[in-house]
Amino acid sequence: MKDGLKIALPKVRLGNKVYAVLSQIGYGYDEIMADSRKLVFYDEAKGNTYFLVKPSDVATYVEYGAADIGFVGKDILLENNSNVFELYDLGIGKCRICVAGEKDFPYHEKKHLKVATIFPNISREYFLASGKTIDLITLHGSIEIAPLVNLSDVIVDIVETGTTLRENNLVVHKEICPVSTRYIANKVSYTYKNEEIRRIYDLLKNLEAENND
Amino acid sequence: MFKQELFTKKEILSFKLRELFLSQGFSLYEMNTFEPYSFYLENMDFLSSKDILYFADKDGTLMALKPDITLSIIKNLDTTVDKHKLYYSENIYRVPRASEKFQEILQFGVEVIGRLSDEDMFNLIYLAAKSLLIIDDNPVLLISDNSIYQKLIEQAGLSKIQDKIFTAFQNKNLLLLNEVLQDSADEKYSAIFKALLFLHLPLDLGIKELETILADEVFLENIEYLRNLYNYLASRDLQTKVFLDFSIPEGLKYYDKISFTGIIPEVSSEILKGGEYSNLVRSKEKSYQASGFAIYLEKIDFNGREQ
Repeated sequence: MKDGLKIALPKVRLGNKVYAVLSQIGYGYDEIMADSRKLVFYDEAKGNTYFLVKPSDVATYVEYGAADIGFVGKDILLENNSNVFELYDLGIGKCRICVAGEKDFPYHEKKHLKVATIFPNISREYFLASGKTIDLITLHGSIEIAPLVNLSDVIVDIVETGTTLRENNLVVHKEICPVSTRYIANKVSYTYKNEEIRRIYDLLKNLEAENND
Repeated sequence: MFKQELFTKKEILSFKLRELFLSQGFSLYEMNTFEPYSFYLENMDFLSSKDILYFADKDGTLMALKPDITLSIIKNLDTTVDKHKLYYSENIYRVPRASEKFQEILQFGVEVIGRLSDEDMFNLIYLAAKSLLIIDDNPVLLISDNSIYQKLIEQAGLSKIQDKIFTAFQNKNLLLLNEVLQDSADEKYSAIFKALLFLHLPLDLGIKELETILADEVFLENIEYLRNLYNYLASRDLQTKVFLDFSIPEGLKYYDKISFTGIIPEVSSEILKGGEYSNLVRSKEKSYQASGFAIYLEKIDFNGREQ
Protein backbone atom coordinates (compact mmCIF):
# COMPACT_ATOMS: atom_id res chain seq x y z
CA MET A 1 0.00 0.00 0.00
CA LYS A 2 1.46 3.36 -1.03
CA ASP A 3 1.84 5.97 1.69
CA GLY A 4 -0.26 8.60 -0.03
CA LEU A 5 -2.51 11.22 1.49
CA LYS A 6 -5.35 10.41 3.87
CA ILE A 7 -8.15 12.77 2.91
CA ALA A 8 -11.22 13.50 5.08
CA LEU A 9 -14.25 14.54 3.03
CA PRO A 10 -17.57 15.77 4.35
CA LYS A 11 -20.56 13.57 3.58
CA VAL A 12 -23.76 14.81 1.92
CA ARG A 13 -24.33 18.08 0.08
CA LEU A 14 -21.08 19.90 0.82
CA GLY A 15 -19.19 16.68 0.05
CA ASN A 16 -20.52 16.64 -3.51
CA LYS A 17 -19.30 20.18 -4.13
CA VAL A 18 -15.89 19.42 -2.63
CA TYR A 19 -15.66 16.22 -4.65
CA ALA A 20 -16.38 18.16 -7.85
CA VAL A 21 -13.44 20.47 -7.07
CA LEU A 22 -11.15 17.55 -6.25
CA SER A 23 -12.06 15.90 -9.56
CA GLN A 24 -11.17 19.07 -11.42
CA ILE A 25 -7.69 19.17 -9.89
CA GLY A 26 -7.03 15.47 -10.54
CA TYR A 27 -7.78 14.13 -7.07
CA GLY A 28 -11.13 12.52 -7.88
CA TYR A 29 -11.94 8.86 -7.30
CA ASP A 30 -15.14 7.76 -9.01
CA GLU A 31 -16.12 5.11 -6.46
CA ILE A 32 -16.72 7.82 -3.85
CA MET A 33 -19.72 9.15 -5.75
CA ALA A 34 -21.18 5.68 -6.40
CA ASP A 35 -24.31 5.03 -4.41
CA SER A 36 -22.95 2.88 -1.61
CA ARG A 37 -22.62 2.89 2.14
CA LYS A 38 -18.85 2.59 2.06
CA LEU A 39 -17.06 5.25 4.07
CA VAL A 40 -13.40 4.47 3.31
CA PHE A 41 -11.98 4.35 -0.22
CA TYR A 42 -8.45 3.50 -1.27
CA ASP A 43 -7.24 4.77 -4.63
CA GLU A 44 -4.63 2.15 -5.45
CA ALA A 45 -3.25 4.01 -8.45
CA LYS A 46 -2.44 7.18 -6.51
CA GLY A 47 -2.10 5.66 -3.04
CA ASN A 48 -4.57 8.09 -1.49
CA THR A 49 -7.21 7.08 1.05
CA TYR A 50 -10.51 8.96 1.32
CA PHE A 51 -12.74 8.99 4.42
CA LEU A 52 -16.33 10.16 4.23
CA VAL A 53 -17.16 11.65 7.62
CA LYS A 54 -19.77 13.88 9.21
CA PRO A 55 -18.94 17.49 8.15
CA SER A 56 -18.57 18.58 11.78
CA ASP A 57 -15.98 15.82 12.37
CA VAL A 58 -13.64 16.56 9.44
CA ALA A 59 -11.42 18.94 11.44
CA THR A 60 -11.17 16.43 14.31
CA TYR A 61 -9.93 13.69 11.96
CA VAL A 62 -7.31 16.09 10.61
CA GLU A 63 -6.24 17.61 13.93
CA TYR A 64 -5.60 14.19 15.49
CA GLY A 65 -3.78 12.88 12.43
CA ALA A 66 -6.28 10.21 11.28
CA ALA A 67 -6.39 12.26 8.07
CA ASP A 68 -3.57 14.39 6.61
CA ILE A 69 -5.88 16.88 4.95
CA GLY A 70 -9.58 17.68 4.85
CA PHE A 71 -12.23 20.05 3.55
CA VAL A 72 -14.39 21.73 6.15
CA GLY A 73 -16.63 24.72 6.76
CA LYS A 74 -15.14 27.72 8.55
CA ASP A 75 -18.01 27.48 11.08
CA ILE A 76 -16.68 24.12 12.28
CA LEU A 77 -13.12 25.44 12.57
CA LEU A 78 -14.31 28.42 14.62
CA GLU A 79 -16.59 26.38 16.85
CA ASN A 80 -13.97 23.71 17.63
CA ASN A 81 -11.03 26.14 17.69
CA SER A 82 -9.31 23.47 15.59
CA ASN A 83 -5.54 23.26 15.78
CA VAL A 84 -4.87 22.72 12.06
CA PHE A 85 -3.34 24.63 9.17
CA GLU A 86 -6.08 26.48 7.30
CA LEU A 87 -4.47 26.68 3.89
CA TYR A 88 -7.05 27.78 1.36
CA ASP A 89 -10.59 29.07 0.93
CA LEU A 90 -12.35 27.04 -1.76
CA GLY A 91 -15.08 29.66 -1.97
CA ILE A 92 -17.82 27.04 -2.00
CA GLY A 93 -20.61 26.44 0.52
CA LYS A 94 -20.73 30.20 1.13
CA CYS A 95 -23.05 31.34 3.91
CA ARG A 96 -23.04 33.46 7.09
CA ILE A 97 -23.28 32.84 10.81
CA CYS A 98 -25.96 35.23 12.04
CA VAL A 99 -27.96 36.26 15.05
CA ALA A 100 -31.63 35.95 14.04
CA GLY A 101 -34.96 36.36 15.76
CA GLU A 102 -38.49 37.61 15.34
CA LYS A 103 -38.79 40.86 13.39
CA ASP A 104 -40.19 42.86 16.28
CA PHE A 105 -37.71 41.64 18.87
CA PRO A 106 -35.73 44.67 20.18
CA TYR A 107 -32.34 42.98 19.73
CA HIS A 108 -30.19 46.12 19.91
CA GLU A 109 -31.85 47.40 23.10
CA LYS A 110 -31.49 44.14 25.04
CA LYS A 111 -28.47 43.76 27.32
CA HIS A 112 -29.29 40.18 28.31
CA LEU A 113 -30.41 37.51 25.85
CA LYS A 114 -31.53 33.90 25.80
CA VAL A 115 -29.63 32.43 22.83
CA ALA A 116 -30.33 29.07 21.21
CA THR A 117 -27.62 27.70 18.93
CA ILE A 118 -25.67 24.79 17.58
CA PHE A 119 -22.54 26.98 17.97
CA PRO A 120 -22.10 27.55 21.73
CA ASN A 121 -18.44 28.57 21.52
CA ILE A 122 -18.88 31.03 18.64
CA SER A 123 -21.94 32.52 20.40
CA ARG A 124 -20.20 32.83 23.77
CA GLU A 125 -17.21 34.60 22.22
CA TYR A 126 -19.32 36.90 20.05
CA PHE A 127 -21.65 38.12 22.80
CA LEU A 128 -18.78 38.49 25.27
CA ALA A 129 -17.06 40.84 22.79
CA SER A 130 -20.28 42.71 22.04
CA GLY A 131 -20.97 43.41 25.72
CA LYS A 132 -24.24 41.47 26.04
CA THR A 133 -24.74 38.78 28.68
CA ILE A 134 -26.45 35.59 27.59
CA ASP A 135 -28.14 32.39 28.72
CA LEU A 136 -26.91 29.79 26.27
CA ILE A 137 -29.18 26.97 25.10
CA THR A 138 -27.38 24.40 22.97
CA LEU A 139 -29.54 22.59 20.42
CA HIS A 140 -28.65 20.12 17.68
CA GLY A 141 -31.02 21.11 14.87
CA SER A 142 -34.26 22.91 13.87
CA ILE A 143 -32.96 25.97 15.71
CA GLU A 144 -35.50 28.26 14.01
CA ILE A 145 -38.27 26.95 16.27
CA ALA A 146 -36.61 28.21 19.46
CA PRO A 147 -37.77 31.89 19.34
CA LEU A 148 -41.20 30.87 18.04
CA VAL A 149 -41.94 28.72 21.11
CA ASN A 150 -40.25 31.14 23.57
CA LEU A 151 -37.35 28.80 24.21
CA SER A 152 -34.99 31.66 23.35
CA ASP A 153 -34.99 35.36 22.38
CA VAL A 154 -32.71 34.82 19.40
CA ILE A 155 -30.79 32.10 17.60
CA VAL A 156 -27.24 31.92 16.27
CA ASP A 157 -27.24 29.82 13.15
CA ILE A 158 -25.96 29.38 9.61
CA VAL A 159 -27.86 31.46 7.05
CA GLU A 160 -27.39 30.62 3.38
CA THR A 161 -30.26 32.14 1.36
CA GLY A 162 -32.46 33.18 4.28
CA THR A 163 -35.43 31.12 3.01
CA THR A 164 -35.75 29.01 6.18
CA LEU A 165 -35.69 32.16 8.31
CA ARG A 166 -38.34 33.86 6.16
CA GLU A 167 -40.59 30.81 6.21
CA ASN A 168 -40.47 30.88 10.00
CA ASN A 169 -41.02 34.65 10.23
CA LEU A 170 -37.50 35.33 11.46
CA VAL A 171 -35.02 38.01 10.35
CA VAL A 172 -31.28 38.50 10.66
CA HIS A 173 -30.46 40.95 13.47
CA LYS A 174 -26.68 40.78 13.14
CA GLU A 175 -24.13 39.00 10.94
CA ILE A 176 -21.30 37.43 12.98
CA CYS A 177 -19.03 36.20 10.18
CA PRO A 178 -18.98 34.79 6.65
CA VAL A 179 -18.40 31.08 6.19
CA SER A 180 -17.06 28.96 3.33
CA THR A 181 -15.22 25.69 2.80
CA ARG A 182 -11.55 25.56 3.75
CA TYR A 183 -8.71 23.24 2.75
CA ILE A 184 -7.01 22.20 6.00
CA ALA A 185 -3.96 20.12 6.88
CA ASN A 186 -2.61 18.38 9.97
CA LYS A 187 0.40 20.31 11.28
CA VAL A 188 2.70 17.29 11.40
CA SER A 189 1.56 15.93 8.02
CA TYR A 190 2.33 19.36 6.57
CA THR A 191 6.02 18.61 7.13
CA TYR A 192 6.11 14.90 6.33
CA LYS A 193 3.84 15.14 3.25
CA ASN A 194 4.66 18.71 2.32
CA GLU A 195 5.08 18.22 -1.41
CA GLU A 196 1.62 16.65 -1.91
CA ILE A 197 -0.14 19.07 0.44
CA ARG A 198 1.45 22.08 -1.25
CA ARG A 199 0.67 20.59 -4.67
CA ILE A 200 -3.05 20.53 -3.85
CA TYR A 201 -2.78 24.13 -2.60
CA ASP A 202 -1.19 25.20 -5.90
CA LEU A 203 -3.77 23.27 -7.95
CA LEU A 204 -6.65 24.89 -6.04
CA LYS A 205 -5.11 28.31 -6.60
CA ASN A 206 -4.67 27.65 -10.32
CA LEU A 207 -8.23 26.39 -10.59
CA GLU A 208 -9.53 29.58 -9.01
CA ALA A 209 -7.42 31.67 -11.40
CA GLU A 210 -8.75 29.70 -14.41
CA ASN A 211 -12.33 30.12 -13.22
CA ASN A 212 -11.81 33.86 -12.81
CA ASP A 213 -10.38 34.27 -16.32
CA MET B 1 22.69 -4.91 36.14
CA PHE B 2 18.92 -5.31 35.87
CA LYS B 3 17.55 -7.15 32.84
CA GLN B 4 16.02 -4.93 30.17
CA GLU B 5 12.73 -6.92 30.34
CA LEU B 6 12.14 -5.47 33.82
CA PHE B 7 11.62 -1.99 32.40
CA THR B 8 8.74 -0.57 30.39
CA LYS B 9 9.40 0.98 26.98
CA LYS B 10 8.71 4.40 28.48
CA GLU B 11 11.24 3.83 31.27
CA ILE B 12 13.92 2.71 28.81
CA LEU B 13 13.33 5.81 26.71
CA SER B 14 13.52 7.95 29.85
CA PHE B 15 16.86 6.39 30.80
CA LYS B 16 18.27 7.02 27.33
CA LEU B 17 17.25 10.67 27.51
CA ARG B 18 18.78 11.03 30.98
CA GLU B 19 21.97 9.42 29.70
CA LEU B 20 22.10 11.99 26.89
CA PHE B 21 21.50 14.96 29.22
CA LEU B 22 24.13 13.75 31.70
CA SER B 23 26.66 13.20 28.89
CA GLN B 24 26.23 16.87 27.92
CA GLY B 25 26.95 18.09 31.47
CA PHE B 26 23.37 18.65 32.66
CA SER B 27 22.46 17.75 36.24
CA LEU B 28 19.13 16.59 37.66
CA TYR B 29 16.81 19.21 39.15
CA GLU B 30 14.32 17.80 41.64
CA MET B 31 11.28 19.74 42.74
CA ASN B 32 10.14 18.39 46.07
CA THR B 33 7.91 21.26 47.23
CA PHE B 34 4.89 23.12 45.91
CA GLU B 35 4.58 26.76 44.86
CA PRO B 36 1.79 29.09 46.02
CA TYR B 37 -1.15 29.28 43.64
CA SER B 38 -0.65 33.05 43.45
CA PHE B 39 2.83 32.51 41.94
CA TYR B 40 1.32 30.83 38.88
CA LEU B 41 -1.47 33.42 38.62
CA GLU B 42 1.18 36.18 38.43
CA ASN B 43 2.95 34.28 35.64
CA MET B 44 -0.12 33.09 33.73
CA ASP B 45 1.26 34.45 30.43
CA PHE B 46 4.04 31.90 30.59
CA LEU B 47 1.83 28.86 31.14
CA SER B 48 0.54 26.90 28.16
CA SER B 49 -2.62 25.89 30.04
CA LYS B 50 -4.66 28.20 32.27
CA ASP B 51 -6.02 25.30 34.34
CA ILE B 52 -4.28 24.87 37.69
CA LEU B 53 -5.09 22.37 40.43
CA TYR B 54 -4.85 24.04 43.83
CA PHE B 55 -5.18 22.98 47.44
CA ALA B 56 -4.99 24.56 50.91
CA ASP B 57 -1.76 23.86 52.78
CA LYS B 58 -1.79 23.19 56.55
CA ASP B 59 -1.42 26.91 57.32
CA GLY B 60 -4.25 27.81 54.94
CA THR B 61 -2.03 29.09 52.09
CA LEU B 62 -3.44 28.24 48.69
CA MET B 63 -0.83 26.08 46.92
CA ALA B 64 -0.75 24.55 43.43
CA LEU B 65 0.07 21.12 42.07
CA LYS B 66 2.81 21.78 39.52
CA PRO B 67 1.44 22.91 36.14
CA ASP B 68 4.98 23.77 35.01
CA ILE B 69 8.56 23.28 36.17
CA THR B 70 10.51 26.07 34.43
CA LEU B 71 8.91 28.89 36.44
CA SER B 72 9.93 27.21 39.71
CA ILE B 73 13.46 26.66 38.48
CA ILE B 74 13.77 30.37 37.71
CA LYS B 75 12.19 31.41 41.00
CA ASN B 76 14.63 29.30 43.00
CA LEU B 77 17.78 30.11 40.99
CA ASP B 78 21.06 30.81 42.73
CA THR B 79 22.11 33.91 40.79
CA THR B 80 25.69 33.82 42.05
CA VAL B 81 26.29 30.85 39.76
CA ASP B 82 27.48 31.69 36.25
CA LYS B 83 25.69 28.94 34.39
CA HIS B 84 23.00 26.42 35.32
CA LYS B 85 22.63 23.33 33.15
CA LEU B 86 19.64 21.42 34.45
CA TYR B 87 17.29 18.67 33.40
CA TYR B 88 14.19 17.42 35.15
CA SER B 89 11.82 14.52 35.01
CA GLU B 90 8.73 15.50 36.99
CA ASN B 91 5.01 14.90 37.03
CA ILE B 92 2.97 17.94 36.12
CA TYR B 93 -0.80 18.42 36.31
CA ARG B 94 -2.63 19.83 33.30
CA VAL B 95 -5.79 19.45 31.26
CA PRO B 96 -4.59 18.24 27.85
CA ARG B 97 -6.37 19.72 24.83
CA ALA B 98 -8.25 16.50 24.06
CA SER B 99 -9.36 16.00 27.65
CA GLU B 100 -11.93 17.56 29.95
CA LYS B 101 -10.11 16.44 33.08
CA PHE B 102 -6.76 17.00 34.76
CA GLN B 103 -4.08 14.44 34.07
CA GLU B 104 -0.77 13.61 35.71
CA ILE B 105 1.83 13.92 32.97
CA LEU B 106 5.49 12.94 33.15
CA GLN B 107 7.43 15.82 31.63
CA PHE B 108 11.07 15.82 30.69
CA GLY B 109 12.75 19.16 30.37
CA VAL B 110 16.15 20.73 29.93
CA GLU B 111 17.16 24.28 30.83
CA VAL B 112 20.36 26.25 30.39
CA ILE B 113 20.28 29.51 32.37
CA GLY B 114 22.97 32.04 33.20
CA ARG B 115 25.54 34.24 31.54
CA LEU B 116 25.46 32.38 28.26
CA SER B 117 27.23 32.43 24.92
CA ASP B 118 25.59 31.79 21.55
CA GLU B 119 27.25 28.39 21.65
CA ASP B 120 25.33 27.53 24.84
CA MET B 121 22.10 28.38 23.04
CA PHE B 122 23.07 26.35 19.96
CA ASN B 123 24.08 23.40 22.13
CA LEU B 124 20.63 23.31 23.67
CA ILE B 125 19.00 23.16 20.22
CA TYR B 126 21.46 20.43 19.28
CA LEU B 127 20.41 18.55 22.42
CA ALA B 128 16.74 18.93 21.45
CA ALA B 129 17.52 17.46 18.01
CA LYS B 130 19.50 14.59 19.56
CA SER B 131 16.66 13.88 22.02
CA LEU B 132 14.26 13.55 19.11
CA LEU B 133 16.58 10.99 17.50
CA ILE B 134 16.38 8.88 20.65
CA ILE B 135 12.58 8.94 20.37
CA ASP B 136 12.26 8.26 16.62
CA ASP B 137 14.34 7.49 13.51
CA ASN B 138 12.80 10.22 11.38
CA PRO B 139 12.24 13.34 13.49
CA VAL B 140 12.05 16.94 12.32
CA LEU B 141 12.93 20.02 14.34
CA LEU B 142 11.10 23.17 13.21
CA ILE B 143 12.81 26.44 14.06
CA SER B 144 11.43 29.96 14.17
CA ASP B 145 12.80 33.32 15.31
CA ASN B 146 10.20 35.21 17.35
CA SER B 147 12.39 38.33 17.50
CA ILE B 148 11.95 38.70 13.73
CA TYR B 149 8.18 38.90 14.30
CA GLN B 150 8.64 41.43 17.05
CA LYS B 151 10.93 43.63 14.94
CA LEU B 152 8.57 43.47 11.97
CA ILE B 153 5.52 44.26 14.09
CA GLU B 154 7.33 47.16 15.74
CA GLN B 155 8.64 48.57 12.43
CA ALA B 156 5.26 48.27 10.74
CA GLY B 157 3.45 49.75 13.77
CA LEU B 158 1.17 46.71 14.09
CA SER B 159 1.41 46.00 17.81
CA LYS B 160 -2.36 46.45 18.25
CA ILE B 161 -3.10 43.57 15.90
CA GLN B 162 -0.10 41.37 16.66
CA ASP B 163 -2.22 38.61 18.24
CA LYS B 164 -4.28 38.32 15.06
CA ILE B 165 -1.14 38.23 12.91
CA PHE B 166 0.25 35.52 15.14
CA THR B 167 -2.97 33.50 14.87
CA ALA B 168 -2.73 33.72 11.08
CA PHE B 169 0.85 32.41 11.28
CA GLN B 170 -0.03 29.59 13.68
CA ASN B 171 -2.64 28.36 11.18
CA LYS B 172 -0.78 29.30 7.97
CA ASN B 173 -3.97 31.17 7.17
CA LEU B 174 -3.27 33.56 4.29
CA LEU B 175 -6.91 34.63 4.13
CA LEU B 176 -6.86 35.80 7.75
CA LEU B 177 -3.46 37.47 7.28
CA ASN B 178 -4.79 39.39 4.27
CA GLU B 179 -7.86 40.49 6.25
CA VAL B 180 -5.77 41.61 9.21
CA LEU B 181 -3.20 43.49 7.15
CA GLN B 182 -5.62 44.95 4.61
CA ASP B 183 -6.15 48.30 6.31
CA SER B 184 -3.23 48.27 8.72
CA ALA B 185 0.02 47.54 6.92
CA ASP B 186 1.68 49.10 3.90
CA GLU B 187 2.54 46.96 0.88
CA LYS B 188 6.16 46.41 1.88
CA TYR B 189 5.32 44.82 5.23
CA SER B 190 2.32 42.92 3.85
CA ALA B 191 4.62 41.30 1.29
CA ILE B 192 7.14 40.33 3.99
CA PHE B 193 4.53 38.80 6.29
CA LYS B 194 2.99 36.85 3.41
CA ALA B 195 6.37 35.52 2.30
CA LEU B 196 7.15 34.38 5.85
CA LEU B 197 3.76 32.71 6.30
CA PHE B 198 4.49 29.80 3.96
CA LEU B 199 8.23 29.59 4.56
CA HIS B 200 8.97 25.92 5.22
CA LEU B 201 12.45 24.90 4.11
CA PRO B 202 15.50 23.03 5.37
CA LEU B 203 17.41 25.44 7.62
CA ASP B 204 20.19 26.30 5.14
CA LEU B 205 17.77 26.97 2.27
CA GLY B 206 15.40 28.75 4.64
CA ILE B 207 18.14 31.15 5.71
CA LYS B 208 18.90 31.98 2.07
CA GLU B 209 15.20 32.62 1.46
CA LEU B 210 15.05 34.75 4.59
CA GLU B 211 17.91 36.88 3.26
CA THR B 212 15.83 37.80 0.23
CA ILE B 213 12.63 38.38 2.24
CA LEU B 214 14.26 40.50 4.94
CA ALA B 215 16.47 42.93 3.08
CA ASP B 216 16.49 45.55 5.85
CA GLU B 217 19.79 45.69 7.72
CA VAL B 218 17.98 45.52 11.05
CA PHE B 219 17.53 41.79 10.37
CA LEU B 220 21.20 41.09 9.56
CA GLU B 221 21.83 40.14 13.17
CA ASN B 222 18.99 37.58 13.10
CA ILE B 223 20.19 36.04 9.85
CA GLU B 224 23.76 35.88 11.10
CA TYR B 225 22.56 34.15 14.30
CA LEU B 226 20.60 31.58 12.30
CA ARG B 227 23.57 31.01 9.99
CA ASN B 228 25.83 30.41 12.99
CA LEU B 229 23.25 28.00 14.39
CA TYR B 230 23.18 26.13 11.09
CA ASN B 231 27.00 25.90 11.01
CA TYR B 232 27.02 24.63 14.60
CA LEU B 233 24.48 21.88 13.83
CA ALA B 234 26.03 21.00 10.45
CA SER B 235 29.47 20.50 12.02
CA ARG B 236 28.05 17.85 14.37
CA ASP B 237 26.81 15.32 11.81
CA LEU B 238 23.25 15.67 13.07
CA GLN B 239 20.80 13.17 11.57
CA THR B 240 17.68 15.15 12.57
CA LYS B 241 16.16 17.22 9.79
CA VAL B 242 15.96 20.88 10.77
CA PHE B 243 13.49 23.19 9.03
CA LEU B 244 12.84 26.91 9.21
CA ASP B 245 9.11 27.54 9.67
CA PHE B 246 7.37 30.51 11.26
CA SER B 247 4.18 28.77 12.35
CA ILE B 248 5.47 27.78 15.78
CA PRO B 249 2.61 27.15 18.20
CA GLU B 250 2.09 29.85 20.87
CA GLY B 251 4.92 31.34 22.90
CA LEU B 252 5.40 34.87 21.50
CA LYS B 253 5.26 36.23 25.04
CA TYR B 254 7.39 33.43 26.43
CA TYR B 255 10.03 32.77 23.80
CA ASP B 256 11.69 36.03 22.82
CA LYS B 257 14.18 34.78 20.25
CA ILE B 258 14.57 31.31 18.74
CA SER B 259 11.70 28.93 19.40
CA PHE B 260 11.45 25.37 18.16
CA THR B 261 9.18 22.33 18.07
CA GLY B 262 10.01 18.70 17.45
CA ILE B 263 7.75 16.33 15.57
CA ILE B 264 7.81 12.63 14.69
CA PRO B 265 5.64 10.84 12.10
CA GLU B 266 3.65 8.70 14.56
CA VAL B 267 2.39 11.61 16.72
CA SER B 268 -0.07 14.13 15.27
CA SER B 269 1.18 17.15 17.23
CA GLU B 270 4.51 18.40 18.55
CA ILE B 271 6.35 16.08 20.93
CA LEU B 272 9.01 18.61 21.95
CA LYS B 273 8.74 22.35 22.43
CA GLY B 274 11.24 24.94 23.52
CA GLY B 275 13.10 28.13 22.90
CA GLU B 276 15.02 31.07 24.31
CA TYR B 277 13.23 32.92 27.12
CA SER B 278 15.81 35.45 28.30
CA ASN B 279 13.23 38.20 29.03
CA LEU B 280 11.59 36.01 31.64
CA VAL B 281 14.82 35.13 33.42
CA ARG B 282 16.09 38.75 33.33
CA SER B 283 13.37 39.64 35.83
CA LYS B 284 15.39 37.48 38.23
CA GLU B 285 18.93 38.43 37.16
CA LYS B 286 19.65 41.07 34.53
CA SER B 287 22.83 39.49 33.21
CA TYR B 288 21.14 36.11 32.65
CA GLN B 289 19.85 34.52 29.48
CA ALA B 290 17.93 31.28 29.23
CA SER B 291 16.84 28.56 26.86
CA GLY B 292 15.09 25.25 27.41
CA PHE B 293 12.74 22.63 26.08
CA ALA B 294 10.20 20.11 27.29
CA ILE B 295 9.44 16.65 25.92
CA TYR B 296 5.91 15.22 26.02
CA LEU B 297 6.39 11.46 26.26
CA GLU B 298 2.71 10.94 27.09
CA LYS B 299 1.89 11.55 23.43
CA ILE B 300 3.69 8.37 22.35
CA ASP B 301 1.68 5.17 22.09
CA PHE B 302 4.24 2.86 23.69
CA ASN B 303 2.01 -0.21 23.26
CA GLY B 304 2.37 0.02 19.50
CA ARG B 305 6.18 0.22 19.64
CA GLU B 306 8.90 -2.38 19.40
CA GLN B 307 10.87 -2.85 22.63
